[in-house]
Formats: sequence, structure tokens, C-alpha cells
Amino acid sequence: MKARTGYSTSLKQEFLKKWIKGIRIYSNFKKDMNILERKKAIKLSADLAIASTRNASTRWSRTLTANISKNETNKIFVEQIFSDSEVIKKEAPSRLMARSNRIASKKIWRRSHITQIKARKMGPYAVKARSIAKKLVKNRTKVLKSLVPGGENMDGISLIKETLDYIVSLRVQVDVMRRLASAAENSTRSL
Amino acid sequence: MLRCAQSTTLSPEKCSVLGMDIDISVLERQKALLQRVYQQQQVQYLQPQEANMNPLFHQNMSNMLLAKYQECLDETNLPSFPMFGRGFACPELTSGSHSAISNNSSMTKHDHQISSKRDRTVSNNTRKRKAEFDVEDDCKDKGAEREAGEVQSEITVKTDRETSTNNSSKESVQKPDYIHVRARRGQATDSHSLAERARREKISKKMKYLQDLVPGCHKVTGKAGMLDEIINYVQSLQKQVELLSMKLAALNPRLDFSIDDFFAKEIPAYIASFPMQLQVPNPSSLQYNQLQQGAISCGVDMAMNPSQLLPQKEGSSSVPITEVYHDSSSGHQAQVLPTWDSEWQNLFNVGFH
Repeated sequence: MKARTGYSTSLKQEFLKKWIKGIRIYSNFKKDMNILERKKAIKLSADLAIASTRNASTRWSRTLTANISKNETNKIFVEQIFSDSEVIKKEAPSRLMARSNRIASKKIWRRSHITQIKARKMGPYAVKARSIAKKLVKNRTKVLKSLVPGGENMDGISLIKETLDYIVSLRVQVDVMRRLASAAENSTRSL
Repeated sequence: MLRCAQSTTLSPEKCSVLGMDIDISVLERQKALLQRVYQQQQVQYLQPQEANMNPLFHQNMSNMLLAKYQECLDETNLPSFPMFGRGFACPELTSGSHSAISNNSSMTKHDHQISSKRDRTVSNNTRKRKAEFDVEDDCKDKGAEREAGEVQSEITVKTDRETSTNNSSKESVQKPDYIHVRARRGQATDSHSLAERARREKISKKMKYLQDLVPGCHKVTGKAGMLDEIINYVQSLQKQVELLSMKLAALNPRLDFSIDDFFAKEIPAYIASFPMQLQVPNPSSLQYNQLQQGAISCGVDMAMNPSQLLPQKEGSSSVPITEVYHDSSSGHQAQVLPTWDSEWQNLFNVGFH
């Protein structure tokens, strides 16, 4: 337990440092932002910071950084933050698509074959229930894939691994942001 | 090598690694049985060599297996089934007695099936095993993998195996991550379904981790429900990030998060674990204000006064901090936050950039 809390605190510190650094750089770029721009700056720096804590070892962090860098105005900002060049280009999607097509056709055959076998074995009602359950799971996996950045072309196991990692990082992000917000709030209140 | 014979005892950790839940007492029984068998047989296991390994291994294994079966048939006081090698069969406690009886009766039936099955599965397994020999140091693993396809044991039917998965046709055997699966009763033993089963178990293992992570996931079972919870949680976390960033933008018209905010984070960290790069330097330069020397304990976050501090770089008289953070986990109280001396603040700034 001790080790776990130690790890998360160091993670929080790292995130905080990078985040504040990003905000400062952004505010040096642009003076006098309105509230929406500020919010965007804050969120952007936070996302970049939390993604960089993973050092591009996970898919979601790479995708997140890549998505942010797609925007031209952000790119300069990103490059300045990561002067030590942690940004990694997203891997070419073409390779993945080819593989998934091959797998898809195999899956179709297999699925039809398996439902035949199962229908013979289990009787019609059980098959129906099972297919409903499978459909549910499939729909939800689709939704999850849309939520986790970079989750589109991943199979079940790695998707779950990425989700785990993503959840942990999101929690760190939310925790630090919340503390900062309450600290700032308390400071303005006591003014 | 006799080394392998001795090391065939299976430890509970190994079982959990392989994703099988095994009764500990069963393991012990199996250990005893195995010792006896090996002493009788005095089989020499060869070192895993690719080239000349397989036929000889096969031979030895066949002898071993037959001997084991004999042994088990003779063994009348064993309440559960014969366990070999790793002894995977999971005798669920509910069906313990029933399975014992039925298994004994089915033993003879399986006897003659063993040799035929063995031949069939050997061809399937040799390829996997060959590669395994490079990877696995423990030759006990080889023995188990070999038996994995052959010995059948009774296992309670896993009821609700929702799988998102006729979606993966093949297990990726390329990576050196060999999964040892035992074929269950009444299920096919070909490599496809074995691979699929292994994959499903991986998924369920990962789902267990997620269950610990996502709050409120304990009540739900089954993949669909847990996925639902996970989705809700991720969505809520993402929304919270949005809201908090909006809030911070509203609170800070100039986006000047100062170092005091760092300090607010550092103190709890400082208390919780002994740290860090951003540690407070020696107190000689610090000034303490009387107002702040009381310890106010509660679970409230720190209050910082960044705006007060900034204009007062020379700053000695003002009191920035008002509250003390009480770390619930450690149970003791934080120190009072000192005021920031001017050169200290600069130092901090420099160090930070």
C-alpha cells in the first residue's frame, strides 16, 4: 500500500510540474486570453502533461499527443513544451487496416460456423441468449473504443490494458486539478 | 535430468500465474503422489534440446503417464482425482464428492483414450513446445503442457462465459508468452479452442483488475455489466476534467499559477512519502508567523494566497498560508507553512525552470 501511494504521488508531482510548465508557456505565447481560451490552454496542457508521463509507452498517450499536434497552432506550442522531443508520430494506420481486413473475413466464417455448431449442441434458446449477450458486449466495447484515445484498432486484451492505464492517469489528472482548483478557490475566498 | 523430476511440484504462485485456481490440499496430495511415481519410475528428463528431444521425451512421457494412471488406480484413498504434473484440474468444492466417484469410474475409460489422444495432441503441441523450450527454463512446464491436452479432469461448468469473441481466430503465438491450458471435460482440445480459452481467461483476469479500479464494480458480474460501469466511469472522469479546467480558467484571470500552489501539493506528498526534488530548503531562511503556528487539523486542502504573495517579493510580514493539511492516511499533522523569503522564491523559480 505504501508503495502504491508513493508511486501515485510521484506521478501527481510529475503531472503537476509539466502541466504548470505548459500553462506558463502558453500564457507567454498569448496574452489576455478570454475565459474559453484559458480553459482550452489549461485542458491542453493538462492532457499533454498526463500523456507525457507515460513517455509514449502506451497507445493512448501517443494518440493523445498526436491528436493535439494535428492542430497547427498547437503544434508550435507542443514542440516548445517538449523540447526534449518526446512526441512520437502515430504509427501508420494502413498496416493495421490490412491486417484487420484479413482477420475480419476469417471472423465472419468462423462466426457462422460456430453458431451452427452451437445451435446443434445447445438448442435454439441458449444460442439466442448467448448471441444477445455477445451483442451487448460488442456494442459496449465499441463505445469504450471511442472513449479511449487510440482505442479503435485494438483487440480486446490490449483495449482493457489501455483502459486500465488511461483510467489511472485520468484519476491523477482529476485529483491534481481538483486540488489546485480548491486551493485557488480558497485563496480567492480569503482575499 | 532428475532436476526436473524434483521440480515438478507445483507451487500455488505458479498456479495463479497460470490463471488456475487450485485447491492447496490438492496440490499437496499431488506432490506426494508425484514423488512416489518418480521414485518408482526413475525417469530421467532430458534437458530441453530442440533436435533430439521430442521422440525421447515422448517415450518417457508415455511411460510416465501409464505408470501414473496405474498408480492412481491403485491409490484408493485419494479422495480426488489423480493429479499429474501440474495437476490442474480444479475440483470445485461443491462438486467434490460427485466428481471423485465419477472420475474413478471414468478412469478406465480414459485409459485407452489416452494413448490415442496423446498422439494427436503431441503433433499439435510439439510446435508450441519446441519454441517453448527456448523460452521456458523450467522443464516442469514442458511436462505439464504435454499433459495439458491429454488428461481430462472434471471441472465445474463455467456458466456465463460471455465472450466478445469469436472475434479472434488465432492466438498470437509469436510472442514468447506461452499459455498453459488444460483441456476441460467435454471440450475440444484443438489449438484453436485452447487458444481462445486462454485468451478469454486473460480477458477475465484483466477485468478483475478493472473491477478493483472502478468504484462500484463489485456488484456487477459479467463482461457487459462491467464494461458498462467502466464506460460510465471514463466518461465521468473526462467530464470532470473539462469542468475543472473551466473552473480553473474562471478562477484565474491571468493564469498565473504560482509556486505556492506547488507547495500546496508538495506538502501532502512530503508528509506521505519522504521525497522529493521540490523539497523545502533549510528553515534558516524561513520566517514563521505567529498566527500560523497553531495546528489546525481537518481534511481540508490547503489555502494558498498567491495574490498576496506575489506583490510582496521582499515579503516577510505577510502570512500566506492559513491552514494545515491533515493527512488522513498518516494520521499526523502537517507543519505550518512558512512564508516565502524573496531569494528563496527566486531560487525556487530558477530551479523549477
